[in-house]
Formats: sequence, structure tokens, C-alpha cells
Amino acid sequence: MAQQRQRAKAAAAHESFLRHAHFRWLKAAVLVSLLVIAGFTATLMTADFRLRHTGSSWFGYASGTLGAGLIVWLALLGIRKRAMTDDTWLLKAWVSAHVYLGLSLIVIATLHSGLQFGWNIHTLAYALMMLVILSGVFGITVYAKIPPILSDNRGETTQKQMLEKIHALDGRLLTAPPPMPSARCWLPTRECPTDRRPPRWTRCRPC
Amino acid sequence: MSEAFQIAIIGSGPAGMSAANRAAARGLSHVLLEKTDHLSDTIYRYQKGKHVMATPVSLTLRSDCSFDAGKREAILENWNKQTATAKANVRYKADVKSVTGARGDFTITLTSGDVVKAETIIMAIGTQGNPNLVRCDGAKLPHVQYQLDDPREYFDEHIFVVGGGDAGIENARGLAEDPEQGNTVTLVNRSKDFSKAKAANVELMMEAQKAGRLSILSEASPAKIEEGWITIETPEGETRLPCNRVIARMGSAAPRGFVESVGATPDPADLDDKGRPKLKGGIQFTSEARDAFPKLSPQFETTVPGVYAIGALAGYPLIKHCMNQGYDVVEFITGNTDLKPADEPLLEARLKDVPVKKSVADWIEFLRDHVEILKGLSPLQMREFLLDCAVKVYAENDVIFERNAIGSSLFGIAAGSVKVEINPHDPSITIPIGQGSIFGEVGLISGRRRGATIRAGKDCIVVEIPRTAALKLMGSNEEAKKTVNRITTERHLLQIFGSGLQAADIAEILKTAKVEEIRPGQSVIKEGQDAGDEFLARAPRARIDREPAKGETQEAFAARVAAEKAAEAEKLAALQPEAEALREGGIYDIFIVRSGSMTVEKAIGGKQVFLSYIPAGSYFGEMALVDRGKRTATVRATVRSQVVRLNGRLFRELLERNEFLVKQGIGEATDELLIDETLCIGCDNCEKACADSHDGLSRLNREAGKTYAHLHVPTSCRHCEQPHCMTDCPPNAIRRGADGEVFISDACIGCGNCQRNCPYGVIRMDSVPPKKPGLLQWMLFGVGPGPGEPDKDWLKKHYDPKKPKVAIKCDMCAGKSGGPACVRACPTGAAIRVSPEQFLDVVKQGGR
Ligand SMILES: Cc1cc2nc3c(=O)[nH]c(=O)nc-3n(C[C@H](O)[C@H](O)[C@H](O)COP(=O)(O)OP(=O)(O)OC[C@H]3O[C@@H](n4cnc5c(N)ncnc54)[C@H](O)[C@@H]3O)c2cc1C
Ligand code: HEM
Ligand code: SF4
Ligand code: SF4
Repeated sequence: MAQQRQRAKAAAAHESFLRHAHFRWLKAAVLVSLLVIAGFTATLMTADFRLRHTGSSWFGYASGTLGAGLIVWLALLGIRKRAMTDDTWLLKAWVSAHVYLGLSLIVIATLHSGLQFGWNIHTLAYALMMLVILSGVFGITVYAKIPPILSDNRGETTQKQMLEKIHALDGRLLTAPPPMPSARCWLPTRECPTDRRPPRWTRCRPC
Repeated sequence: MSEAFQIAIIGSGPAGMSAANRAAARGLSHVLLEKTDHLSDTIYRYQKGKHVMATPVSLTLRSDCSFDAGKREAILENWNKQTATAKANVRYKADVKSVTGARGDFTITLTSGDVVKAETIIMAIGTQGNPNLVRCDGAKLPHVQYQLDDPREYFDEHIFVVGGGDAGIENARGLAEDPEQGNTVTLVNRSKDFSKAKAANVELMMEAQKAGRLSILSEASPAKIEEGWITIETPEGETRLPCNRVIARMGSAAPRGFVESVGATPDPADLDDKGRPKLKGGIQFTSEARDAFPKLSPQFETTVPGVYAIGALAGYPLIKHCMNQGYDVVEFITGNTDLKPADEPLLEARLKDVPVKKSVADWIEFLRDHVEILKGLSPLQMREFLLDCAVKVYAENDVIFERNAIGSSLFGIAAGSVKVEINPHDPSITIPIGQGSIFGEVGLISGRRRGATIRAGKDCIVVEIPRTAALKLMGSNEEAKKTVNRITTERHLLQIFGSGLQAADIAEILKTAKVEEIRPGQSVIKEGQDAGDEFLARAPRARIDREPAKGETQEAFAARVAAEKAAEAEKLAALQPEAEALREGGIYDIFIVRSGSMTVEKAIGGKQVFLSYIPAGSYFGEMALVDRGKRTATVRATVRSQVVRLNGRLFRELLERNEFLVKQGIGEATDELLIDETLCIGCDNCEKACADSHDGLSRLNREAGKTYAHLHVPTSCRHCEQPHCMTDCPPNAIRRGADGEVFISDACIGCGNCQRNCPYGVIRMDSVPPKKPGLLQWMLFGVGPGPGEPDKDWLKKHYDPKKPKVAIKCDMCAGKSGGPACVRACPTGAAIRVSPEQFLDVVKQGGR
């Protein structure tokens, strides 16, 4: 088991999910895409495209099955990330594969469609899938941009401390004197002497 | 009033109570003196409903009272009943102030002024000590209290909290927390700052003060307490303020002073600094160390004839031990000296498999005679010690341990010798270590892996001493400590500077080597200093007063200060030539980290930037010595540490004699969880995974902790080389496991000591929540609380609050083949586990 742990440790080395295992899943995704492009080209050469029957060609079935399988597998990430089973799996590796293989769906599904778009249920499904993929791309940009900002903003304070600080600020606001004589009354509503209480969150006119 | 008893027992904890019951059963005239108005105050003060555990399970209980694991209330009730039925003579509210006299005629004086006479005395006062008391008029009034159970129970009161430590600050904040309670809270602190409290605590208190929720009086102390009022002495004079309650949290005094005074007589010929006669002839302790115990005979008799000590006071903190000793000591006093201790069968079982046959008593004598560090132990300590140890007999050339194996036990050679393989590539080269000496001490001190393979020599018998037992031994026995320290430093040096060096080469350096204590955050070397600066900075300074002494005129004071300053300048001037010589030669001392750890920092763009980490067992400071420039970085302690200072001049000579490069020598150390905050999206999946793979409780707090250059060290166990948590665990439940992890075993009794001792605050006390419905049920039907630690509402509904709380902490997912769950569950690769030597690489390279 010690050996297994060692291997697990090597896999968990300091690499982001994008670079995981020297871009293993990027390479896999490119390979899959190239194979699909090759298959599509072969079909183009052998089948008569004008008949618009690519769906029922061997390529249509193969790429359709692959794409559907991929979508199911991609969706399983939601379970994987929450099921803490004991094994050597690494969520980072799953996300890495998810991202790159998910992107390869653009190629797979587009070629599976044979570029035959129209106002039908198939094209709707295609568009919805592309939306999901786009949301994934958006997610990646967020994953890349946000963490350092989060870290800088937070410093070493924890959520609990932040809440405590806000609480303390609240307390100070309630007890602090008004900053200057102003056209508006700064008294907290529950201390309004005339009881002409305005609705919450609005300030009242001086009485 | 004065009565005479055969036996007076002081303290009614499990030890004293069991002794009283035995005395009652034996029909001896006796009295049990208890300070409070109930039995067993230590256990009485456990939190309500605490599950009390009965460890060690294998030890048989020999007492007139029964005891089994169970609720605090049930146990106390049972003891009350049994003590009443046995007609033990208990005297409550009998706080013993002093004990004088000698065997056969002791005089015990209570704080009430009453006097009790006794022929023999059994001390069973435990180690809890007494809270420091408020000393002013009215301190005895009922509204002065020393404990605060629930701050939410107090409304609309003027409350003064006295004491600026963590306890005081936490109480004051708790009382002022909710404005609805309407309390007016004032914290009274004797000094100017709050140096004894945690920084975070002080900051929150200051916030509360700014927000007007509580007031702070510094450099102040209570001068008088009256019904409804308190008078406080401040630098500006006295003020009288309305006050309904005083809560004093000023720490507690260990009972040692009292114990040492027992049976002592003041010696008017020998005065202490304050002009009071020193006490002579009281109970002696094994050493000056804070954790030392009274010296005891095998029959628990102290150095004062007729006074016996048992229980936690004698160094046996488990209830079962305490009760057995209560029984035994009374038997001993009645002359039943043949009584075999209750642990005899345990020891016999321990020694059963040793091929060499001896009786338990003979083994104890044999080991004490033959192993140097055991010489100072009493037979009683030896028994306890042997319970933890293993005696092993090896055939010639058997491997005792291998290089790089994990292990922190210490070995003593009782017969024969062992062979150390100093060259990993050529096992035929060995150095012998002879009978009486020790080995394995590097692992013991620094927790690092074994540095060399060790084989048995001829007729080898060794005793393997687990880390905790070895530390206890060093703590209670000065000789053992010195021996271990001397051998450690020598071998340490040889191991670090390895090839080519002989013990003779470093003998001289060793003689001048000094062990220095470094406080957390204190620097050992400072960036930009040269050898001369360092030397001058270490020169002892005279203390120059800032204020005139009492009765001194301003002029006299000014003259005195001027003279003192001149003398100081002169002294400094005299040191200049030496400083100049060191500066010229670039002669710097170098250091070995003996325990604890250090960080290396450099000022970059006006900010201290963390560069690397130096674990125990490594050295630093050699760079400047080699290139003769200034110190290039600041090295400071992360935790309380010890360094060995090696004389630079001698070291330079050694360097010149032996042409080897001082190479970076950081060895294997233990793991730490790091989070790369350029990758962490804050999903807390790591925490959830931790909870789900450990009975539903997370041992990790991702947000808390320090951050250096986007590298965050979250609060999870550091698996320290010198685990602080291990120092005071009554059942020795904290161990180091096979993968180097520090873990808490099922033996935990939930006392909370480890939580207080861990400087990183990573141990929590909690009870295991019930099982949750499965993941798919939650995902599809929303049943249960979902992944991670269950939320409070769900817990409230499904939880048995009476479940025992135990200590839990990170165990590095020991036993899980895939490695730590937190690392596996991180979607972006931000969470990693590294050992200290990889620390720097991680910082430099980044992971993106
Ligand atoms: C929170 C906590 C949880 C623990 N849980 C467990 C557990 O589950 N299982 C276990 O085996 N151990 C446990 N322990 C350890 C155990 O409680 C103590 O080690 C044990 O109570 C020590 O017994 P004792 O008789 O030596 O002294 P104590 O129980 O400390 O009793 C000393 C008594 O002496 C009295 N006294 C002190 N000074 C004087 C004086 N001058 N005059 C008169 N009376 C005096 C005190 O009031 C007290 O009643 C725990 C300890 C703590 C702090
Ligand atoms: C049809 C294609 C896709 C499907 C069905 C799909 C489905 C999913 C699902 C079910 C999750 C888990 C959400 C959760 O429970 O937290 C997820 C997460 C994620 N997906 Fe996709 N996805 C697809 C394509 C993509 C693509 C193309 C990318 C990237 C370019 C991407 C990036 C991500 C990321 C970054 C996460 C978050 C991972 C985490 O932090 O755990 N996805 N996706
Ligand atoms: S619990 Fe604390 S003291 Fe103990 S090993 Fe972990 S970090 Fe160190
Ligand atoms: S709470 Fe900590 S110190 Fe106390 S018994 Fe448990 S592990 Fe040991």
C-alpha cells in the first residue's frame, strides 16, 4: 500500500488541472478529434452527401454513440466530485479530462450533425449542448481569473472573521454620531423620536 | 479543636477517596480532607454529562470503590454512595493550608484555622492547582467568582472581568457579545498590553471596545469590592464604579509550592531575595522542570518520612491508576509491604515472550543497572516505564531498524552491543555502540526517519522506549536528559557533516556548543548583519533604569544613568577589536535546529518574503561563513524551538582542515497541506471530502491559517516533528503512525489537553454525528444534509447530544491507499501535500 500511496502522491504533484500529467487529456482530446475528422472525411469520400443520410452511415452511428457516451460521462462529474470513495482517483484528473474531452465534443457533435442544421429538434439539442459547452468555457476563464483575486481580497481573514468585522462595523454605525449636519436624519429608525418611521432601508427627512 | 488520626488523606479525587475507603474497610482511624463541599473536584468540574473513560482497559481495578466508564454524574453518584456506606470519614470544606511535624505527629492546619493531627499523611491533591485569588478588601464576597460557565446567563449587570489572558478576554467578549443582554462589561488588566493572550482574541476585543460594547481598564487592579460597587486602582488614581459581579480569571498556581512546603521548617539562617527564611526539609521533586513529580519510594513515600503521594500528583493521571494507588498505599502503611502492585500481571505479560527468563523485579534491577539513562529511576518509575517499553533480544546481525524507516522510539543497550551502518552503499562498514548507551535518539528528538541501519552485535539485549515514555523520562530525570542531549548533538553533527568526519574532529566544537531556546517569531540571524554586528548584539547589556528608584532625587538619578551609560559604552568599546576581527574574517556561528523549525525570509521591495523552511535536524548560517559576506537572509523560529550554536572560528578551522563542501542537508521530514491560492476557487470540496471520509467531521479549516505569496497553509495538522499535542495526553492516545502521521487513537478520554497544547489550533473536540442518507438520495430526492459536515439544523434533529466528545484531528488519511482525501477532492489541483524540503520549490515554480 505504501507504494500505492507513493504513486498517488506523484499524481497529486503541484500541477493545475489544466496541465495535469503533462496535458494528458488535451492530447487525448486532440487525438479523438483527429480520428473523428478522419472518419468524417472518409465518409464524405464514400457516401453520397447530397442524400443527407450521414446519420445512418457507420460514421453517424459511431460518432453519435461516442458523443452520447461522452455527455453521460461528463454529467457524471457531478456525482464523482461528491462521492468520497476510497480509491486512487483524483478529482483534478477528472476535471482535466472533463474540460478537454468536453471541448472535443464541439468537433464530435458538429461532424456528427454532418452540418445539416435546420429548424428541428436535432438542431435545438445541438444548440443547447453548445450552450452547455460555452458555459464550461466561461467556467474555465473564471477558474483562471478569480483565485488570485479572491486570495488578495481575503488576505488571511476567514469568513467568520469577516462576518464579525461587519457586525462590529454595524455596531459602530449604530452608535456613531452623524458625520455632519445634513438634510437628512441619520437616526436608526427604531430610535426615531417622532415615530414617523419611514420604510426600512430608506432614510427619513429631518423632522 | 484538634483530633488525632492514624491517617489523614488530603484531597478526595479518585486517589484520595479510594484510600479513605480502604482505611475505612481496614477499620483504621482516618480523615479525608477535601477543600470543596463535594468529592473529587476535578471530575466534578468536568462538563455536564461528560463520558468518563476507564483506561487502560487491561489494568484490573483494585479498590473498595467501583469504577466503570460512564457518565460523570453516574460515577460521582456511585462514589458518593459507596463512600457513605463504607463510613469513610470525610471532612468537606477543609482546605489544607500547611503541614508541619514529622512521622507520628503531623499537624495539619486548614485555612479555617482548624488543626488536625495525624500520624501519617497521604497527599492526593491532583494537579489542578488553585485559581489565583483576588487580593483586596471584599474579595470573599459571594459575587466574586472564578469561573464562568455560560456567559448568556447574565442580564443587565455591571460586570468586571479581572485578568488580561485569553480566559479573561473570552469571558468579557462573551458577556458583551449580545447587546440584548444589556450587560455593562469592563475588563481590568494589570499590565499595559495583552501579551499573554492570542493576537486574534485581542483584536476582537479591541473591536468590541471600539464598538462601545465593552470597556478596558489597563494598568489597573481592583482595590476594594463592596456590595454593588468596585474600587479600581488606575495610574490616574482610584475610581469607584457600580459593579454587580466580579469574574476573576488570573490563571492558577500549580500545587508544587504547597507540596514542597509539606513537612518543611523555615531556616532563619538562609533567606531568599525577599528576606524570608527558606523552607528546608520538605517534599523533594525529581527536578526543577515544570512537569517534575515528587521523588517517591516503591511504597509511594515521599522524601518526608510518613508523607505519601499518590494519583495525578504522583504522575499517574488516569482514574484507574489513582484508585489502585489509593488502595495500595493504605495497605503499605499498615505494613502489608508484600502486596504486589496491580500492574504485576501486566508486566509479567509484557516480559513473557523475552527468551531470557527473569522475574519482573530482576528485570527491573537488571535494566536499571545496565542502561545509563535509567539509573536515576526509582523502582516505582521503572515499573510504570516498563509497562510502555519492550525488552528485545537479538541474534547477531539481526536488523533492529533500517535506514529511512519511520520510528521515534529510543533504544537502550542493556547487554552486548549494536552496529551502525554508516555507509548506505557498503553495509560492511559499521561503528559499534556499546552496552549502557542509547541509539535511535535522532528520531526521538526531531521525529525524522532513521538515519542509518542498525544491526545487533553479540548477545544483544535492548530495551525499546516509545517516544512518549522517553520524553517523560527526560522530563522527570535530569541525568537522563543531559545524557541524551550530549549524545544527540554529537551524533547529529556527525550525521549532518557526514563523510570523513570522526568524533575526534568535532570534540572541540562540541565542547563549546550551546543549546539556545528560541521563542516563536524570534530571529536567530538577521539579514544584512555582519559577524561583528552579531557579536555586539549578543554582548550582555546593563539594565539602565528609566525612572528614579524610590527616594532618589532627579539629579542623583541623572548622574547614575550617565555613569551607567558611560560604563556600558566603555564595555562596548572594549569589545570593538574582537568585533572587528570577526567582521574582517567573516567568522559567523552556525546553527543546528535541534527541535521545532525555522523559516528563512528576505526583505524584497520592503516586505518580508518567505523563502523556505528549515526543519529540525538541519543546519543554517553556513553561507556567510563560507563566502565571508553579510547574512543574506533572516531566519526565525516558527514555533518554540531549540538551536545548537556552533562556534564559527572552530568551524572555520574544521572547514579548512577538511575539504568538503557544506551541502544542503535537509532530510525527510513530515507532510503539510498547502493550498496554492492562484488555483483555489474556494469550493471547500477539500473540507467536505475530509468530513465524508472521517465519520462526518472535517479536520480541516481551509480559510484559517497563514498565506505567503499566494501559498496558503490551512489549519490542518502539521504532523510536527515535536508534536506539542503529545506532551500531556493522560492515556498516551497520540501516536506517530507508519506513514509519519500523528494520530489520535481510540484510547482518547476526551480531556482536551491536546487541544490546548497544539499551537496551531487544529484539534477539535467533538462527537461523531449519526450516519447520513446516501449521496444519490440527496441528489435525486433532497434527503439528508448532503456532502460534507452536516449543518446544525439537521444535527439538532438527528443527534444524541450525550455522546462522548473526543479529540479529532487530521490523520493524513492513514490507511487510505489513494492518499489524503482533501488532495484527491480538489478539482483544480490547488491542494497539495508537501514535505518541508519541497516547500521552496513549490513557491518558486508555481503550478499554473
Ligand atoms: C477534562 C478532563 C477529562 C478527563 N477525563 C478522564 C477520563 O475520561 N478518564 C480518566 O481515567 N482520566 C481522565 N482525566 C484525568 C483524571 O481526571 C485525573 O487525572 C484524576 O482525577 C486525578 O485524580 P487525583 O485523585 O490524583 O486528583 P484530583 O481528582 O485532581 O483530586 C484532587 C482533590 O484534592 C482537592 N484538593 C486540592 N488541594 C487541596 C488542599 N490543599 N486541601 C484539601 N483538598 C485539596 C481538590 O479539591 C480535589 O477534589 C481527565 C482530566 C481532565 C482535566
Ligand atoms: C455537454 C457537455 C458538458 C456537460 C454535460 C457537462 C456537465 C458538467 C457537470 C454535470 C458538472 C458538475 C457540476 C457540479 O455538480 O458541480 C460540470 C462541471 C464542470 N464543467 Fe462541464 N460539462 C460539459 C462540458 C464542459 C466543457 C466543454 C468544459 C470546459 C471547457 C466544462 C467545464 C466544467 C468545469 C470547469 C466544471 C467544474 C468542475 C468542478 O469544479 O468540479 N464542461 N460539467
Ligand atoms: S495536532 Fe498540532 S501539535 Fe500535534 S502534530 Fe498536529 S500540528 Fe503538531
Ligand atoms: S483529548 Fe487529547 S490529550 Fe486528552 S486524552 Fe484525548 S487525545 Fe489525549
